[in-house]
Amino acid sequence: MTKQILYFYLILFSFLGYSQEKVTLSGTVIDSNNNESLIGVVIEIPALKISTITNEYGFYSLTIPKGTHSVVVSTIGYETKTVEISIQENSKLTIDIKADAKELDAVIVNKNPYRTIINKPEMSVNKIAISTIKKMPAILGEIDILKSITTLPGVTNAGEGQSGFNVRGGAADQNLILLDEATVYNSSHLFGFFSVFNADAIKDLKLYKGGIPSRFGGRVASVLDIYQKEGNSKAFNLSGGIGLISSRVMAEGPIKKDKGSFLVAGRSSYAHLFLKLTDNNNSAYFYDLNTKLSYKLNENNNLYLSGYFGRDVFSLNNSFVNTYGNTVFNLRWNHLFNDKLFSNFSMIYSDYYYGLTLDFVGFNWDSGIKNYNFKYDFKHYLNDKTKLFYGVNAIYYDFNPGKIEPTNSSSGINPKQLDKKYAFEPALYLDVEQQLSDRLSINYGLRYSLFYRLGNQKMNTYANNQAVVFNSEQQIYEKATPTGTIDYGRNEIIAKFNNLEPRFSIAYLLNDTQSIKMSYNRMTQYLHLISNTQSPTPLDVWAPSDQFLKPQLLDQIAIGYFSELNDGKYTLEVESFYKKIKNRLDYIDGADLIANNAIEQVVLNGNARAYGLEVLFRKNEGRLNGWASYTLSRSEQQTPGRNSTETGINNGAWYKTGWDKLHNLSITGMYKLNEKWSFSSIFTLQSGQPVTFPNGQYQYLGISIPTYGLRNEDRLPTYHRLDVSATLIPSKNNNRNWQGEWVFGIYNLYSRQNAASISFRQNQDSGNNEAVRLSIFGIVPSVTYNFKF
Amino acid sequence: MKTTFKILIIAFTLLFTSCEDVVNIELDTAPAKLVIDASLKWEKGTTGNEQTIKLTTTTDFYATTIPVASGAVVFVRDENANRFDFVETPGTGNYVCTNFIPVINRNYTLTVIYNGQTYTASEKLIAVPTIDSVEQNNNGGFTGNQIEVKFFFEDDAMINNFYLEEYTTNFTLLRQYEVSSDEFFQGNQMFGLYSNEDLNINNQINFTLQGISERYYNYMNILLAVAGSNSGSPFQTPPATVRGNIINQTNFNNFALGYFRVSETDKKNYIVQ
Repeated sequence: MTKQILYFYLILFSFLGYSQEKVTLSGTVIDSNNNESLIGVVIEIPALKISTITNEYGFYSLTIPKGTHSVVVSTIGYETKTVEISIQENSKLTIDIKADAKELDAVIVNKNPYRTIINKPEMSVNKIAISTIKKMPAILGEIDILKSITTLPGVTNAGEGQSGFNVRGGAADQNLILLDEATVYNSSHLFGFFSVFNADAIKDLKLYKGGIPSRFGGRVASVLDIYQKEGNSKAFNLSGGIGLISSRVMAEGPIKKDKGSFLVAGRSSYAHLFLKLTDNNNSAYFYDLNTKLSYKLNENNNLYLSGYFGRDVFSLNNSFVNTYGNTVFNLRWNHLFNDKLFSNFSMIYSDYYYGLTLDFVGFNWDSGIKNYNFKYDFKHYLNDKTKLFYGVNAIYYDFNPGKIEPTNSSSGINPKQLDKKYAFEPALYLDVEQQLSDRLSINYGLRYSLFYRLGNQKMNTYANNQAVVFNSEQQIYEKATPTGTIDYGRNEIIAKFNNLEPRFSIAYLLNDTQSIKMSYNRMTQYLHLISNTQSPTPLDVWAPSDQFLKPQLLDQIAIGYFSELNDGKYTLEVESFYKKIKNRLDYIDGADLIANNAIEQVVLNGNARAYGLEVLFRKNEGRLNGWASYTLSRSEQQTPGRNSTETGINNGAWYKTGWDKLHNLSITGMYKLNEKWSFSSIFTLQSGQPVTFPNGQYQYLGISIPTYGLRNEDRLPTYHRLDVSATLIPSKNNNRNWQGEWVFGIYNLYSRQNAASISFRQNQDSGNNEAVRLSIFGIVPSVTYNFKF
Repeated sequence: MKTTFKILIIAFTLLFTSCEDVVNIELDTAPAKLVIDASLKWEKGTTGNEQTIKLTTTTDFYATTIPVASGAVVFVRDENANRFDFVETPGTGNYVCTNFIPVINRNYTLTVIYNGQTYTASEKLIAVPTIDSVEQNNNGGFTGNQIEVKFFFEDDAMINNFYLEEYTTNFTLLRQYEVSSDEFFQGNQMFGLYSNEDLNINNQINFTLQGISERYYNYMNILLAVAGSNSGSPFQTPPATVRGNIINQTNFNNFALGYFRVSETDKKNYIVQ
């Protein structure tokens, strides 16, 4: 099989050829206001039917015949610019474009930036402009990138106020979340009510749901690629906002004009948030800090240093103190070898820390994950038809599953360090983008990933290599008793894996406005978030693969139909996908995951699958624009018995995952009334979350115990909600430096009491059983003031 | 240990408890199963001769009365072939024995014959330490102004111990249970902690500490989680019907719920000062 794949690539390669009498036009596309480089800008020479898009650093390279051409540069939110060039030799051209300030009377552009959606093989990819996200209504006015992407087809989250997001039926831990290429392990503040991303500091984001290029790996459901701004290298400016939950401030400016810039953005929520108690030492707050330094050494070299630091803090009377958050650093060096070969070298550090002090019990707890990541990526713009992307990547992981210590000498706690774990994950990849004809283009690539689980660690051994045993008398799974341990020295290999991950996508243009696409991708995930709950919690720990926890393997295929209507005023995207995952972890009934030093004793390797249909309809222009997305899908998992005597989990039957949403409809609309007022709204309608309701009760030890049938056969009531917001830009802004803006919002306008959960319990006073609905948010008004000068 | 982590979850839900409503959710009812509540408890300082086993069946989730299982034959044998018969107080489902002989670490086997099916289970009598002292703290709980009461006992360092802690009071209706293990406390002083926002001066707390097996500890861990489950909450783990140690010898698949266990217990009453 492996050999066949290699042959396939060799054959394809032999078709790559060079053309004569051509020159290369390369450079960067920047924002004329602040020199911020722009990602995903379409650069097109319509007469030649040649086009390209700028990469993550704003770089482009086009191979074209000598002569005079008109180059059209367009992207969402910017005025389309046409540049006339006369080119005789390889040339550099920095193109600056202007933010589209006057959307209202925008000239109808002759080339619309959505055209690339039609003719590139890239599919199952969504973008929302940060400017759009900032206009969308948000809970308590707190702009939230992760909540915004749940308006896209195929993206949901388990429920209101739950952390993470789910892509095409995947679990939250199957998303690779990258902030300036660094992995972010926990994307939520306050147990999932807000995201860790401060929209002020974010330049661009892109969500890959399928057809994922081979430069990405390590997660099986999606990649959310987020880029921070570089900072304004033209002039200093300060902006910020005051909201109900948090206040934000951002400073950016040149270090050296047009060469270097800095950006510092901070956000902090107010203490005592949500806590109605005012007469004590309790607090609950979060803060984060984004920083970036950019420096252009010369024409061919750029340096970037990015950082992120965020923490959540809960403190209840100092007897309960809980702190957690991410730290990220990344030093990058862009180097241009020549007009056609762009490279980037990154050194990345990221970590996630979780700490808990319970003084009345007398202990401190901390856990976390650290990683060191080296990446060297090349983008090779071979000719006008072919691009190559290749590179290497190596990640070293250091896991701390938990350490417990007594807080004082009178505490009855014995100190204990759960076994630290180490792993190394190198990978290399190659992607090819090839235009085979005017109508047919393909992307194909291969990633070779390796994973080494390393010492220093003692590993348990078990009879028959089974860390979980089946108790046939009680028909339950139980922890096996280790038969011994093997002591592995530092960097000694405990377990190793390697996988070839082919990726392929193809686009066929039916005509100028319609195309069909197909994609396939295989991906491997070597890390597992040990979590037995509906959505991840901050105290969940990550665990590496080993002989018991096998790497997750995904195969996904997708087909799609893409069309633009009425000259690009509308776009329609329809996709259907099917995916299956091997070795999805499942937990035996009653698995205790907290402070468990032998996770392998409570998990089994199962399967997961998901399939669905997604429709995205956008209105791109005019006073009223927005999108409607609808997803019909199913997400299931199954853990059969390992042999005929075992029942498996849930009797070995497929069951819906906690984030299965059969129907999911989201409509986002924005309306610009005049220069002063604009409005936006989001309507969400989706199937209730799958849950398991009791099918009876019995009395034991004087308390009522519910009985249950199979998992997730019931659903919470249908979820729906309407949010609205209005933005007021005072007209006095026009003749002053200070630019102010008011955002008024109402979350859950008609105050739907959506169920976040339904619990079945015994009433404390009557002793009778009852069902209790917990709804988190009723109608929530908010107001935010944003400023800039 | 595990319990302390639950506090995190409670802290979180505390913030939002104001939006709870009792709702009407229609539920299916599965066919009835036999439930055997066979907890033989030997309180320190007593003979332990008198024991009760309760037989009931499962019923509709919202039902306010629990159907009893009458007319069963119930007896316990120890490893020396002594047989102790449990006789029903007619129509109550309570089967009473007056001549039971408890011995620490002795194995006991339960037999229940009901509706022509024979159910059996075995368990060892597990010892428990004495409750040494009680401490009252008026600056406890999350808010720092709640009364909390700690019941202290010494863990036996020689073996791994598991405990069931039972609390009843004169101002709450429902019993409260916790299970704990000495995993992080081996050989140290341990305590059972009672805290309730309604706890006031002159309230009475009855604390019972019971020695249990590891298997029963695991069972109760799951059972207590299921009893307080939250469908669809972010912290929910998938609920399931929990099967105990009772085996139907006649028809394996028609299993009974409940558990047979034998524990030494120690009791302490405390009146809040």
